[in-house]
Amino acid sequence: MVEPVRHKKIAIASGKGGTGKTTVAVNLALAANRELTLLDCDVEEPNAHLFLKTEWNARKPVKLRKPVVKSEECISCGRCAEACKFNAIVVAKTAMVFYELCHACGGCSLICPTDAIEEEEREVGSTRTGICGKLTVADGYLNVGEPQAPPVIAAVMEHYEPSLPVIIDAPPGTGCSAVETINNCDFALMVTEPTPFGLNDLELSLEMAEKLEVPSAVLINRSDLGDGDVKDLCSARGVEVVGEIPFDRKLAEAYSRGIPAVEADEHYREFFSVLYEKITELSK
Amino acid sequence: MKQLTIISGKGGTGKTTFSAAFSQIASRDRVICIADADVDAANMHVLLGKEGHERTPFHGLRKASISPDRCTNCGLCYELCRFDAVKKPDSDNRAYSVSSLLCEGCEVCVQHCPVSVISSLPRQAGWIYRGECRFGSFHHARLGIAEGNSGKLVADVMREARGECEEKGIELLIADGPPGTGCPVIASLSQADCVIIVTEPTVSGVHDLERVQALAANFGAQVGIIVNKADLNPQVTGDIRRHCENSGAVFIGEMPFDRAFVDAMLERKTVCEYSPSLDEKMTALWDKAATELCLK
Repeated sequence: MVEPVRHKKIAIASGKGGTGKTTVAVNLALAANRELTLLDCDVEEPNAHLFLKTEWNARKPVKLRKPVVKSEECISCGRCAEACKFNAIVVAKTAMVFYELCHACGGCSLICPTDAIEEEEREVGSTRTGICGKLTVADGYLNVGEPQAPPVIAAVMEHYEPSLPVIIDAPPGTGCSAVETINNCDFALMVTEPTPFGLNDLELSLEMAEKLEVPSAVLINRSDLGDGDVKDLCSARGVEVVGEIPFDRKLAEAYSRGIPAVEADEHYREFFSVLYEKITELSK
Repeated sequence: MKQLTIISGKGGTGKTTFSAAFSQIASRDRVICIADADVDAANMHVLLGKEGHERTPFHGLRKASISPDRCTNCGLCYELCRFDAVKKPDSDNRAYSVSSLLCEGCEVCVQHCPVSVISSLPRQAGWIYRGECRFGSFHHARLGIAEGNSGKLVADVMREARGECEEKGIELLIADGPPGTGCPVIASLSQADCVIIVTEPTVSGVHDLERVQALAANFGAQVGIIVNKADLNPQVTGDIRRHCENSGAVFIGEMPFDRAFVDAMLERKTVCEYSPSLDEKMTALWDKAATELCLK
């Protein structure tokens, strides 16, 4: 019997925002020209869908169990507030929950001596799935005003299908959202720009990937707008630079209208198809 | 004291460049305080410097730790943990153990362990910096590698900056906010009197602008909008201008795409320090923002 293939999870990431993560993720997926899953895990600002004509066929709410106080049974003992490490409960006449601070850990309802705290599922975001040509696309939205992205990211990640290659558009930064995503991936392509801000944030991202034991490589976008420090950093850290994309005003204008690079200029189809083969090889 | 937070929703629109330029311009006629609230990818210090800044450790939430010798392997902690942070015994660990990466610090396991063998340990999760820069006092931070808690770190940086403003009678705090809409952004906005959103005329810029503008509205802050790289798509820039009129935000103005933004950064200068013509444009934008958002 043939062992089923488990495709590696490839994240397209960056410390600094706006370096071109989404552009790279979408164009890699399109240029691969095969059945593939594209997951947009930047649930605070999901943008991949803006460049794809996806036929959405399902929307699923992401819910967390959050506390609801039955005021008639609350004796205002204050044990819930004491147990809550997120300062999400204040006890005045009865206990009151500040949902924007609540992490849904369940601690308050467990500790309440009169069972006055029940839990109710509350929607914090949603995920969508759909089809765009050969691509299966899934993305997620964190509801505006909700603080915690990781549960929505985890829900998007559930759409990973091991029998298909997968490209994951990761959130920017090095905080909870980025850690939640990269920690669940097998390989990270860091998209950066050769500027002092790009350099500073790339270094943090590479350190994060190293700590999470996720191998990484670097792609330099707008490679002619900056200096050589990013390349020096990569060679000092032994991280491979797998490609460079010079600034192209036509590409930026196409982007502004939601047109993917591979459709704006055939030259990019070739570039991203070669890049796809390269990172697939590297992630093995 | 007034707090202005500069955000963008989408990353890379020029938030930090505008924050540094506006800090410089504002500092010409008053004493200001500056905070870099983008602790995930803090960049203001690249332009403003951080030499000689005093640093204090940042403590994130405490992390649970199970003492293996006295653990009875009852598994209650495993059942109660909602963050999948408790691992079952395996070949490496003969007792239950906690992944510090996944632990959120809720202490539910600590509170309910029947034999009290789980303790919560303080954890340093970064550094908070404060010092002077050429435009005023400057608060910033560095989040520890692969630490969560960036929302709490932003809240701490903002508290320190506001504290200094109150103590010294400083009347304007300018905060460079994080991208996105989650916890760190909420912490940078929660006490803002007004908000400037720096966006770009692209499908992503507009999509993210609408979300982050709704978030700012939750906090009752007055909102002004600037379109950077406006000439990349004049039609969308026009759409954003009309969107401002319809949504009660102030359209502050626009800035064309300009390579000098990168050239200034390479010299570790603000765009005002680098180019007199950009200084003029930025000053006009700032004057409008300050008038319309009541920062005068």
